[in-house]
Amino acid sequence: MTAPALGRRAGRWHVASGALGRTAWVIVIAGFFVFFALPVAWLLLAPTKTDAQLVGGGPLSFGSWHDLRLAWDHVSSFEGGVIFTWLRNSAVYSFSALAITLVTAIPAGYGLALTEFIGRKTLLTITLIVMLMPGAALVLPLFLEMNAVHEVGSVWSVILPFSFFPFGVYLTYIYFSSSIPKDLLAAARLDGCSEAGVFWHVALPLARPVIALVAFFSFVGNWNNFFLPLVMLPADQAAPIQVGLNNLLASTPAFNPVAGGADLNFDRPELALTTLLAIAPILVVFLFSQRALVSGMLAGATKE
Amino acid sequence: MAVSQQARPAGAAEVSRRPPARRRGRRGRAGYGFVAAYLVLLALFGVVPTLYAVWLAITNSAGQLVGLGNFTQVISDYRFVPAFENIAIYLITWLVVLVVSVVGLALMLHGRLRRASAVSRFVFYLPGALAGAASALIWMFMLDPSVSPVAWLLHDLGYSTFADTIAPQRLPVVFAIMAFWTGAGGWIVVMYGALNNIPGELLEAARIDGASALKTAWYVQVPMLRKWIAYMLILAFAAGTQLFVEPQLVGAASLGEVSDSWSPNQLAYQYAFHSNNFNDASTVSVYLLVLGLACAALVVFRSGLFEVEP
Amino acid sequence: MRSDRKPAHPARRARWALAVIAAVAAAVALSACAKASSPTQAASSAPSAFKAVSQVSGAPITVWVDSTRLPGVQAYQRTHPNVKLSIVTYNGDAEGSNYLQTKIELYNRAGSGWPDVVFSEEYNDAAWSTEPGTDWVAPLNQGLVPQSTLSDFAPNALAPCTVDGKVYCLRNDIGQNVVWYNATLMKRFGYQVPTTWEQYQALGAKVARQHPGYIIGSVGDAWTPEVYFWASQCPANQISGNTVSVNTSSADCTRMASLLDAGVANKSLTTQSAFADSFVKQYAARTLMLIGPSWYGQYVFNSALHVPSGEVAAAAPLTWAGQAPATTGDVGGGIWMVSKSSRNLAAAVALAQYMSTSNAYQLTAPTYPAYEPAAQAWLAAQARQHYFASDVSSVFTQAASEIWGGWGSGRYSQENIWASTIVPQITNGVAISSLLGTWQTAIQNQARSFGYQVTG
Repeated sequence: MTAPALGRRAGRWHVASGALGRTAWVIVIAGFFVFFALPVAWLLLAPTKTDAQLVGGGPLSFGSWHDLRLAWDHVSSFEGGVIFTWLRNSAVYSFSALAITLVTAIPAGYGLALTEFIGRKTLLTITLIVMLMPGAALVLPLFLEMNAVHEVGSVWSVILPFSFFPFGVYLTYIYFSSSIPKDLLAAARLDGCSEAGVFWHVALPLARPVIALVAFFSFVGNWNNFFLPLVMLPADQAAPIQVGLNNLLASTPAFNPVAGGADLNFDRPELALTTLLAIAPILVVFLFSQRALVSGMLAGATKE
Repeated sequence: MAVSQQARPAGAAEVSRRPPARRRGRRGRAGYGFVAAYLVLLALFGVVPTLYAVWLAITNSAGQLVGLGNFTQVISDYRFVPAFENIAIYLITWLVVLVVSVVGLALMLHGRLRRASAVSRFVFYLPGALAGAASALIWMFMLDPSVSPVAWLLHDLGYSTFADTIAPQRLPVVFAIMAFWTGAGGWIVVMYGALNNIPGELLEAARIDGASALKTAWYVQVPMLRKWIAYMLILAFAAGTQLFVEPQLVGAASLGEVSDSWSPNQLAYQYAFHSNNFNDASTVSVYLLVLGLACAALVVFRSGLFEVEP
Repeated sequence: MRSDRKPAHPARRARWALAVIAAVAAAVALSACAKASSPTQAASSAPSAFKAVSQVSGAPITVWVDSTRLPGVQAYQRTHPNVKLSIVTYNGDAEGSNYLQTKIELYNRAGSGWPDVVFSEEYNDAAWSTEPGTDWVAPLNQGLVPQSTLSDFAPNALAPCTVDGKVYCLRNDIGQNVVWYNATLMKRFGYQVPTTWEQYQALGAKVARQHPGYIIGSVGDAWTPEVYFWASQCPANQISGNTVSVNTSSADCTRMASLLDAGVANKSLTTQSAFADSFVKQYAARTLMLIGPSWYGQYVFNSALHVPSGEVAAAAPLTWAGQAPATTGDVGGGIWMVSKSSRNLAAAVALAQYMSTSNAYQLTAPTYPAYEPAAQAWLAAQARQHYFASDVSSVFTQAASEIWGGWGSGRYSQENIWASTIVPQITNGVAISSLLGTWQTAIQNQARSFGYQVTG
C-alpha cells in the first residue's frame, strides 16, 4: 500500500476526526482504566477495614489507620513471620532462575533469528509444541526427574525448571528477526567480527528492550508460579509466596468455614494485605523494566 | 571496527557474490553455540517430560501399550463433553475480546500522550500481577452483588446474589472477563514494545500523506505487528483451551459452586491428582495439545512466523 | 513485507509433517495391546497387610498440620523435648484443595518422602489413603493404639477411618448437627423450639406468615445433605467396601426433600449459604434458627453474624414423629494419620494419640473433640466462656451419640456434588424434590469415576 494511495482517501477525514477522535480516545482509555483499576483500588483499601466493614460498609470506603496497623500486626506475626520467609524465598527462586533464563534465552533467540543452521525450524517447532503442552501432564515426569537426582525439596528443583522459558526465547526470536537489520550484522562480520563478537558488540546493545521484556516476564512467571513449587517443595519454610497465599486461604474463615480457626486473627483484610505484599515486587520490577522497554531501538540502526 | 571507505563497497559486492552454502556453513556451527545452553534446558524440562506424558497417554497404569484406548475411553467420561463445550464458548469470547482489545489499546496508547500512556500501561498491567490465589479474594467480592464495587452494574443485569452472577450459563463470559482482566496487560506491554520498533519514518510518511490515525494503524502498524499478533494468537488460544485458574478461583470463592471439572484442564488435574490416573490426565492433555498445535500450525503457516528475512 | 520464499516450501513441509503424524498415529492405533487404563478396580477393597519398616528408635519424625493445630504440636514439642519433631504447616487439605493427595501420590511414585504424621481437616481423606494402590497409612488398632482408647471415641466417629475392621486414623473432632436457635427472638415471638421435623416445618410456615424475612435454616450450604438428609437416614451415600449404593427416591429422602421445598417456597429456609456475605448482610439479625454442626455456635453466630452473647442456644436434633432412636448428621471433623513407612512409629503414634485424645491439647481446641473423655473436659471449659444462653453440654453430648452410621465416607465429595450440581438449580427456583433424580445420577457418576461399583 503506497503512501499516495492512502492520502487520497484519507485526506477528507483528517481534520474532522481530530476532536472527535481525541474524545473517543479519552473515553475508551478511561473506561478500560476503570475496568482494570477498580478491583485493585478495592484491594488497596481492604486492609484499612475490618472484615465486617468489608461486608457491611461501602466497597471503596477508607477504613482507618488503626485497622491497617492491626492488619499489619496480624500479618507480620502470623506463624512467626512466615510470610516474610515466603517473600524471601520467592525472591531467591525468581531472581536465580531469571539470571539463568537471560543467559540461555537471549542467545538462543538470537541464534534462531539471525543465524542459520540445520534444525533451526525444527527447534522452533519443538519449542512451540513444548510451550503448548498442558502442565497437568508434565508434573509427574518433572517430579520423577528431580527425584532421580535426589533434588526434590531443594531449591534447584524449582530454579532449574523455572529457567526453562520458551516464551522468552520466542519473544527474543521475534524481536531479533523483525527489528535488527541484517546488513548491520553483515557489516560487522565483514569487519572481522566473530559470530560471538557480532552478538556481543552489535546485537546485544540493541536488544535492551527485549532483554527487559524477557527479564520482566521471566521474573513474573517465576514469582507467580504456583504448581511447580507446590509439587517440588515441602509446604512451609521453603515455599514461595504463591504457595503460602494458598495456605492462607485455608486459614481464612471466609474461604474455609469448616476449619478456619476462629482465633487465628487472620481474615480477609489480612489476606488483602498479604496479597499486596505479594504483588509489590512485581510492580517494582515492572516500573524498572518499563524504562528500558520504552527506550526502543536507538537511532544508531542503519536504515534500509 | 575501523574499515577503509574504499574497502566497504567492494566488500559488500563480494558478500553478495559469495556462494550461500559457504555463508551458511560458517554460521551453521556458531548457531549451535548460541542455542546450546537453551537446548539442554529444553531437553530436560520440555522434551523429556512431554514425551513421557505422551507415552503415558498411550499406555495404561500397568505400563502396557493401549494404542488409542485411553483416548476413546476418556471421551465417554461423563465430564469430558461438557468440559469441551464449556471451553468452546469461552474460547470464542476470550479470543475476540483479547486480540481486538490488546491491539487496539496498544495502538491507542502508542499514538499520543506518552506520560498518560505510561501510567495507563502500568494500570492495565496491574491485574496481571495478581495471579492465582492472589485474586481469589478480589473475585469473591467483585462478583457478589451484595458487596461489590460494581454492585450497580450487577443489579442492572438482574443479579441479586453471588449465585446469580455465577449461574452455569454465565460462567464462560465471567471467566473470559476474568482472564482478560489478568492477561490483557502483559500482552499490551508486548505489543507496545513491538510498536516502538516500527521506524518512525513510516508513520511520518503516512501522516504526511494525510492518512488518519485509523488508516495508519490498519495499513502500516498492524501489518508490521504481524508476527507478534500471530504469537499472541497462538498462545492465547492455547491458554484458552487450557483454562484452569479462573474456574478454580470462582469455585474457591463460592465455596464449591463451580464444578471441579468445568474445564478440560481441570479434568486432567482431577484425573492426575484425585483419581491417581496419570494416564488419563496425559490423554486429556494430549487432546488439548493437539488443539493448540492445530491453531498454531494454522497461524504459523498463514503469518510466516517462522520465516526470517533473507 | 513477506519475503520471497519458494511457494512450494510451506506446502511441502506441511505434507511432510502430515505424513509423519499419520504414520505415528497408525503405529499408535495398532499398538493397542492391552486394556485402557481405568480407575482402580481392585478385587479386594482393603489395603494390603501391614508390615512396618525397620524402626530406628529416636528417629526424627515429620508432622504436617494446619495453622489451627500448629500451636498444639508446638506445645507438644516443648513438653516432649526428647522427641525430634520437624513441623510443617500446610493448608490442612481444606475442602477442594487436594494438596495431600497430590503430594502422597507423588511420594508413592518416588518411593519416599512421606511425612510420619499428618493432620487433615477432611475425614474423607482416609478413604483414598486406604485405597489399594495408594495405601500409605498404618492401621492403628493392631497394637499401635490400645483398644480401650479406640472404643472411647464417639460412636461412628472412627467410621470414616475403618476399613475391613482395621482403623487407619484417629478422629480429631466431630461436627454433630444440633438445632441452633436464637432464644431471645424465639421468646419474643412466642415460638416453641421444635422437637420433630413436622414441628420444624410448621414453625417455618408460621414464621413466614407472622415474621417474613426471618429464617430457620439454609439449603445453600455445600453440606446441606449432611445436615438434613443424613439426619433423615436418606440412603444417598451408602458405601460398603468398593460398592456404592444411592437411592434418593426412598421415602426417607423424599419426605425430607418435601420439607425443604416447603421451607424454600415460603422463604423460611434460605437458598443462600450461611457463609455467604449476602447471608450475613441480609440475615445477621434475622436468623431464628439454623440446623448445623456444633461449631456453628462460635463460627457462625458469634464470629460471622455477631449475635450478642446470651442469645444463642442449642437444642437436641430433630426426629420424624415417632422415630426412635433419633439420628443426626455430622459436618466436618479432622483426622490424624500415621504413615506406614515411618521409621519411628512409636513416636508418630504417640503424637497422633496425644493430639486427638489428651485433655492437654483438646481443651485448647476450637471444636468438639471426638474422644469422649476429652469432650467432657472441653464442654466444661466452653461453659466458662458464657457465650450461649444456656448450657449446651448435654445437647452436644446427646447429639454426638446420635450420628447415623448409614452415611459413608468415600473418595468422592458429597459436598462438591451438592454445591456444584444442586445449589445452582435451587437458586434458580427449581424444587429439590424434582432434583432428587439429578442428585442421584451425579453421585453415581462421581462414584463410578472414582472406581466404585455402583448399585441402585
